[in-house]
Order: sequence, then structure tokens, then C-alpha cells
Amino acid sequence: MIELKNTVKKFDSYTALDGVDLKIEKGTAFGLLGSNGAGKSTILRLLSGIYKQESGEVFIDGQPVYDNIAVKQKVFFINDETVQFGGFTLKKLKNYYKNYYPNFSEELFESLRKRINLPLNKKINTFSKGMKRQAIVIIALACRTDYLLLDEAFDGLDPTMRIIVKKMLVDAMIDRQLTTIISSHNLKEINEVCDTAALLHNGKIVFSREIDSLKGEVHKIQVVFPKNADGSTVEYTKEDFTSTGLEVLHFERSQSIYYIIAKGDEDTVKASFAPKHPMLLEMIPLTLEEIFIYELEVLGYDSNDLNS
Amino acid sequence: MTATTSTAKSFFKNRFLSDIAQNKKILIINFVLELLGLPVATAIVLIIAHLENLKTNQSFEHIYLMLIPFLVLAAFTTAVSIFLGCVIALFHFDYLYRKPIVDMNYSLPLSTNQRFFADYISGLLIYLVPVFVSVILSFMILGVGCTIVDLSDVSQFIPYIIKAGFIVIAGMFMLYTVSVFSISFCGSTFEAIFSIIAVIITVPAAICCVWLLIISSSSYGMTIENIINSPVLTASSPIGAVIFFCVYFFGAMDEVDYEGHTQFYDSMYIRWMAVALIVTLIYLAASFFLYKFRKAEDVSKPYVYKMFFYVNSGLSVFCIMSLFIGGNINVIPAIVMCAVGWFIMEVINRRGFKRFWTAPIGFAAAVLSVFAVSTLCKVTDGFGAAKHVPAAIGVESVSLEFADEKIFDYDLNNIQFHDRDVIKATTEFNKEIADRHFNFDKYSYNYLNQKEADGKYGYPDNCYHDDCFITISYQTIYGSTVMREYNVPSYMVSDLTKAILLSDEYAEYAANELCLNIANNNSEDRYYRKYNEALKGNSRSTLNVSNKFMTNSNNAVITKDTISKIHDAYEADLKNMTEEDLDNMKVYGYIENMWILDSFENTKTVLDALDLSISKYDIYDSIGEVSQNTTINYEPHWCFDVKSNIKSIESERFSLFGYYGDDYDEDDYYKDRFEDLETITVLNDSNRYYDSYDSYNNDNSHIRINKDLQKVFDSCTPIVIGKKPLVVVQFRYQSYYLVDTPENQKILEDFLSNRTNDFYEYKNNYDYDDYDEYEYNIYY
Repeated sequence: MIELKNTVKKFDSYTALDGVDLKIEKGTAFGLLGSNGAGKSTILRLLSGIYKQESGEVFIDGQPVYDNIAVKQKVFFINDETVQFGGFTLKKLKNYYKNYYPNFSEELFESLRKRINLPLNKKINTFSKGMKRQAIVIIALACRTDYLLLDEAFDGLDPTMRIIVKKMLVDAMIDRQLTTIISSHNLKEINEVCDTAALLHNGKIVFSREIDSLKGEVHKIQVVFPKNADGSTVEYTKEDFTSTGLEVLHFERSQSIYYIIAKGDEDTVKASFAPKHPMLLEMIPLTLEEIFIYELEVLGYDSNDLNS
Repeated sequence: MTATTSTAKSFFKNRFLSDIAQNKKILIINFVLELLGLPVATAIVLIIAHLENLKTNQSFEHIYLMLIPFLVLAAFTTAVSIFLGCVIALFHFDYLYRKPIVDMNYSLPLSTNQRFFADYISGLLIYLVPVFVSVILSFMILGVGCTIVDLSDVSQFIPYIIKAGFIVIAGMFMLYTVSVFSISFCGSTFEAIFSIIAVIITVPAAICCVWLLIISSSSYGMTIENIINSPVLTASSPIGAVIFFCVYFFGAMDEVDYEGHTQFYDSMYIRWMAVALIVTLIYLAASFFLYKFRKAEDVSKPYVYKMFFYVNSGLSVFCIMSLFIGGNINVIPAIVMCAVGWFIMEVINRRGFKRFWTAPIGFAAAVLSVFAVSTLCKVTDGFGAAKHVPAAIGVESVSLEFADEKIFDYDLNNIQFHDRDVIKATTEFNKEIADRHFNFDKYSYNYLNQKEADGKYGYPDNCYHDDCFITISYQTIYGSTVMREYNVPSYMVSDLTKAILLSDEYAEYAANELCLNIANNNSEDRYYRKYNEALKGNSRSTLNVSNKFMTNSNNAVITKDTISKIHDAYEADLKNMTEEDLDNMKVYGYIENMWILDSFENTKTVLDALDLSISKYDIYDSIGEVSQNTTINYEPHWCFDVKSNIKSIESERFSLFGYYGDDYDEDDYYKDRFEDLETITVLNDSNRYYDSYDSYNNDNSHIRINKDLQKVFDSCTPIVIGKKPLVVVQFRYQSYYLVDTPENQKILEDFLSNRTNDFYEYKNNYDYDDYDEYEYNIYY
């Protein structure tokens, strides 16, 4: 299990992580979401022992990570760059990592390599970006570590290859309870691969929970209320809804139709509208991307604001 | 959650092997360079030695010319392979300044310690293993070569060449470690490369500049050569190691060539190796701590530890400014120059002008610190360096060089005096002269006042200037060398002179020199460099002996056995010499150019056996009744410029014909400047022209030898050690002194009272009124 307790990480005067608390159960496919500079990569680097936190604790399987060989042996980190492998051939890169990960499986490596048909003895700097990604992913999987940390994992992969790589990851998760932490801006992929996700903003965790429950907790509601006796449209403000205890993430009105993004279980949300006797109330499930956008909007990370 | 620790497999070995595998190419390059270096040079030496041994009349010039490019290639490849130390360090620690590979290295299951030491050691082995292989191969070539080529002439040098090789290896070890150290405080490629160069240069340069400030603020007796011999310089940087290599290699080779062994250079070597190793380990420890406490995210910053940027820049400013301050040059241009350099470096370091207002503060601090160090040097008399005289107990040996043959010749510095009396006399002399400088008022001097002197013996140019420039090198028991040099009146070195003459080491040296000179008068015209070498030859040599006045010389052809007998006899006589002998200095005669005292019974016996007894040659037989080229000075005066040489160190010494400037005041100039000396020390005046200060032409001078003058001649001696001469008799080019004793005063009185006017004539070239007070030429 991975656990971050009140973790603070600073880069000179800039606070990248500000008292982060996070738990990731073993065998989880965990997605790290967040705006740029939210601290996703910082968390991954803390978990792989590259960075040391200023305060708080970072544990994997109950042991501190930094400078701990036993823990680092269980973790493989793939960062968002590929230039570092340029001087290697796939074979050399495989041997390089094989040195440090005793569970490395040659058979697994070979079978994965054949699946994506990567050349063994060609310099990696002659590979495309996607091929470089594939190369490091199959090495990472062949290392058979307990934890796999991927920063922008699917960057550069073509759609077919994304599916293949995702399948490889899923297979590993099923086969040997691999805990995968994926940071990505591609929410669709997180949605597809991960069962749990956390949203980070300005170095803080906004939420961390199972994606399914997350989706069930945030709703897009289209609602129309009956007109007044004089035929005029009823005008509600955001406060009219929040005062009833509804957690409104987004509020928008077009003519007589209200578009509201609200948090809470479906029944509670519906119940909070009941006193206003809506003519029409439709609850549409949100995509993860929408949840991401609306959650951040609440925190002031609004694309409209940023543009202005 | 309670943290628990678990044991894990160490991947140190894996990292180490992986590093080697990753840097295979540079290892191969290093091997190729090393194999083209020392082994090629060894083969060339063997070829040259073989050609030299052939002893044919055939010229091998064309072969030598052909070998030169190979020697150049060997030197070049060796230099490049040494330089690879920086490159290998840059390759092995590239993740400290290349952002993309930080994650790849730091995420591996390695502890910081394992990663550092695996990288460090693998790099060191890639750097040094080819060197060892090349050395082994060179020895194999030498071993095979020995079976073909006679290397007996160079065999004695081999241990020292091996030791010099270890100095190179220690220097390489240091270069690599300094490079790692420099990289460990940098976070970008430019700064990493720049810092390596900067640290390599600024550390020794700053040490030299501190020394320059010390010398410029309190230079009395200090010499710049001290710094070359100081382990502070030589053991603290790779450039220092190069300096030490040169000092050791050429010094030890010279000494081995001269003495066949070298004790001092051995202890110097051990000390340097120990200090250099400790310093290298300090660099290593510093590198490790900087490495351990730096953060992965610091990569891409120009300097991870900014302090080092300021230290490096500050040292550069210090070096440039101290050159100006030390040289008493206007420092404004230096400040401007440094400011430009400083701000350029700041712009590079800051990658722009961010918070640039702090840059002038840093620069001002650096400049102020230079002035602070300079002032500190002045206030503390160069941190007391000039006052420091090594304690006799801590001195292993001392070598002395007299830059004027009137006491000892220059070759005396070939002797390392281990004799405790010589060491004690040297330190006592050194303490006294340092005290005379720093506590000048404590001592009184009998100044030669120009006004009083006027009409008596006139200006100081009518005195004999008595300067003795002595250079002392103390070799301490710790292997360090402390050097001092002073210009003193000769009486101040009289005790030291006695101690030298009474030492066994001088006896051995003088006997060797004597017999080497005899051996080199050989019929085969063969030149020997050492006495031991001469003993191996079979040639016959001519022995020259002469009386005290070097007239009536006689010679004999002798074998090496006789030379050996003379050597042993002369050495025994010198060893038996007493202080009383030195006080009397009754010279019996000369063998070659070495004096024999009346008390040298062993030598006299050997000469008698060769029928070369000097006593039968009467000086007056050769001089006859009249003599040319003889000058007698009844009232000799010696003077010494105390003001320039002891009170202060004036760059512009007294000049006879120099221009002193418009404001020159002669009275002021002479006031309390020249000491009127009572006593002098002279061992060898054969090349001294006492009459060179005046315009006397002695070519047509003749002297009539009467009974009284004979007594003067009989009693005078060419050697005076701390005595007052009453009369200087100059015969041909040799000076003789009638020293101040009651008997000699009587002899002089008799001579002066029995003079008659037709016996001598004064040549009044200067129109002095008081003839009697001045110098007389006596001629028929």
C-alpha cells in the first residue's frame, strides 16, 4: 500500500505539494489527475525515491521510500521523457534495468516485445516517440515490480498501440496484482484504465476515490421549473440551491432551462429539487473530464477566467 | 505508521559493472592513449641507450630525428590520457547536470552512497587501470630490453622513475577526484565543465597569490621558491602535483646522479604522497557530502551550491588583484577588470539579470576581502612567515648556497648537511638575522658617516664592500622545504662557516671535489662527473701542488690508487681539523685549488711520499727581489649597506654611478647606511680585485722584498674567519690578510717603521692630502 501523510514538497520557495494525504491500496489502478503544475509528477517522483519530501511521510508497504533500496526495488518509474534512452539499444536498455530488478523476466520481455514488434539491436534514438514509450513500458513490465508509476504514460502512442499497451498493463494488474499509478492529462485513458483517481490542484488533493463512485457523486442536472402565474419565467440563483444543502459545482441558465453540476448521491440531489417542483429534471452522467473541469472551476481554475 | 526497514540486495556491484559497460568506449580510448604513451617512450629510451652503448663513430642523428615524432606522440597521448580524468568524471556523473537522465538514475534501487561510490570507483578504474597496464607493459619492455641493452648507467634512477610514476598516478587520482568534486556542486553542463577548470586553476593560483602577498608585505629573507616547495601548493591541486613532479623528478635525479641516493627527496616524496592522498580523500569526502545533500530537482540549476560560484569567482578576483597589490601596481585597472569579469559570470550564473542588484554587493565583498587579506598580511608580517625559523630539532638537513665564491663556491649547495652543529649554526644565524631585521633598534651598528669619513677613507666606494648573499634551504623532518635568502656582512656567517668546515660532510665533500679535480686532469681527456665514477677509470692523472702564494707549483702523474690515498688523507685531515686551526688558518699550500693547513699531517705525508713536499719551495725564489702586481693596503676598510639589506629591503641598491634623482641628498643617503666592519670572513679571495674600486694600474708596479716585508708575507693568510685584518696584501689575483694579533701588529709596526722613501712611491691619482691614510703602491 502507498501512503502519503501530510507530505510537503518545495522547490526553493515554490510549494509543489502542500500537506498531501493520499492512500493507494495494493492492486489498484490509480489515476492522478490535475492541472499543470498541480504536483502529479512530484508525487510520482516522491514515490520512486527521486525526490525527498521536506516534511510529512511517504511510505510504500509501510516503509519510507527515500534512499530505501528494498522499497525502490518494488517500484518502476517511467517519466514523461524518452530522450534519456537514446544512446541505448533495446537490448542494452533491457540489460541495464535487468541489473537492478531481480524479478526481471526475459520470457515476459520477449513475449511483450514480439507483440509490439520492437527491434532489439537498433539504437533507441532511431525509434519514434511512441516506440520509445513502448520500449520502456515493456521493460518496466518485464521488471515485474509491485508498483508501476507512469507519468504521461500514453503520450505519443497511436490509438492501436494505446490499446495494446493498456492491455499489457491490465494483464499485469490481473496477473500479479500490479499497482499502477498513472498520471495523465488524458482523462479518457484514466477513465478506461484506472479504478481510482485523485485530483490535485495547487499541490493539494481535491478528491481521491473510486472513479465509479466519483461518477455517481457528481451529476449534471437539466431542470425546468413551471412558470409563474403571470407567465413569467421563475428566476432562481445559485444560492437558492446551495441554501438547500446542495453542493453546486457549476450553475448555468439558458432561458427557462437550468444546467447545474452538483455533488451528492442521486437521491439526495433529486430530493433537494423537489420543493421547487420541477417540470423536468434530468440527471445526465458526467464524464471524468467534465468532473475534472467542474471541480477545478470551483477552485478557480476556470478556462474562461484563464483566457481572460 | 511505524516505519520498518527491510534488508535488500545491494546493487552496488551491478551499478559498478553497468557503469563500466556503459563507458566501454572511453575505456578503450584511454587504453589506446596509454599504450601509445609510456610503453612507446620506454622503447625509444631503449633504442637510444642501445645506440649510445655502441660507441662507434657512426652518427645516429637520422635515427634520433626519426624517433622525435614518436616521443612527441608519446608525450601528447600521455597528456591527453591524463586530461581524460575530467572527461571520465563528467561522463560518470552526467546525471548531476543533465536533466533528462536524473529520473533514470535516481529511481533505481540504489542508495545514495552506493550510487556515488559505484560511479566514483568505476570511473577511477576506467581512468587508472590503463595507466597500470601501460606501466606493467613498459616494465616488460624494459625487462626484455635489459637482456639486449646495457642499462647499468641508468639503473640507479629506476626506483626514482617508479616513484615519479606514482606521483603521476596520485596526481591523476587527485585530478579525477577534483573533477568529481567540481561537478558535485554544479547542475548544468556549462557550469560543470567551467567549474572543473576553475577549481583546477584557482586553488593553486590563490595559494601562490597569498604567498605573493606574504612576500610583498614582509619579504625579508623570503623567496618565491618557497612556494614551489610548499606542500600547501603542491599537494592541494593537480597543477601542484605537476609542480611537485618536476621538483621531485629533476631534483631527485640530480641528487642521485651526484650522490647515488637521496634521503631528503625520499622523505619529501613520502610526505607529499601522504599529504596528497589525504587532500584527495578530503576532496572525495567533500564531493560525497555535496552529492549526498544535493537534491535531484537541483539539476539544471547552474550551481546547486551557490557558495562555490562565489568562492571560485572570489578566488579569481583575489588572484588578479593580489598580482597588482603584490607588485605595487595601481589596483584600479585590476578592480575594473575584475568587475567586468565578475558581472559577466553573474549574468551567466543567473541566466539573465534576475536580482542583479546583489551582484555588486558580492563583488564589493570579494574586493574588500582581498584588501582585508592584504592588510592582514601586512599587519601580521606575512602571518609571521618571515620571522619563522625552523627549530633545529625539526630540521633533517640543510643546504647552503653562497652566491659569492669568497666564502664557499656555489657547489656547496650540492651538500645536504645533516650535521647537527651545522644545522644549529644555520638556525642560530637565521634567527639572529631575522631578529636584526624585525627588531632593528635592538642592535647597534658602527655606521660609516660620510662627513666623518671625508678625507679619511672617503666614500663607501673607497671601502671594500663586504656582501655575502646566502641562500638557506631547510629540509624538515616532515619532508617540507623552507627557503630563506639574505644579504649579510661576512662576519655574520663566521660561526656558520666554522661549523661547515668542521663537519664530516664538508670533509667528505671537499675530499671528493679535490680528487675529482685531480682525476679530471687525466691523460685521456675524460671528464668524470663524480669521484666514485672517477675511481672506476684506469687513466692516470696529473697532480698539481703549489705553495701558499700559488707560485712554484709542481706536479706528478699519479694513478687512481694515489688519488684514493690523497682523498683519504685529505678527508682525515679535514675531519681532524680543530677550531683552533680555523682561528689560525696557517695555510701550508694548495693541492689543485684546495688549501692544505700546516696541521694536515696525513696529506703532507702522502705528498712527501710523492716527493711533492711544498716546504722546499720558497716563495721568494719565484718572486725574486722585486715583484709586479703586488699591492699592500695598510688600512683596509670594509663596509656593508645595513639600511638596504637589514633594516629594510630597498629595491634600488646603492649604485656607484647610478642616478639618484633630483631630490637626492647625499648626506641623507649615507646617513646610517653603511656599517664600518671590524671583522670579515673570507675563505677564497682568488677572484676578488680589491683595487677594482680605484684606478690604480699595477702593471708597472714593483715591490722590493725586504726582511720586514717577508715577515708580513709569511704571517698573512688567504683565509680569515671572523677576524679583523690589519693589512691586505694582494699578490697576483689572490688576497692575503694579516689578521689582528699582537704578533702581527708588531710585524706591521716593524714593516712600516723601516720603510724608506726610495722604497715606495705613492701614486696620487686622487689628490688626497693625507697620503699616509690611503693606499700605497710599493714599487722599486
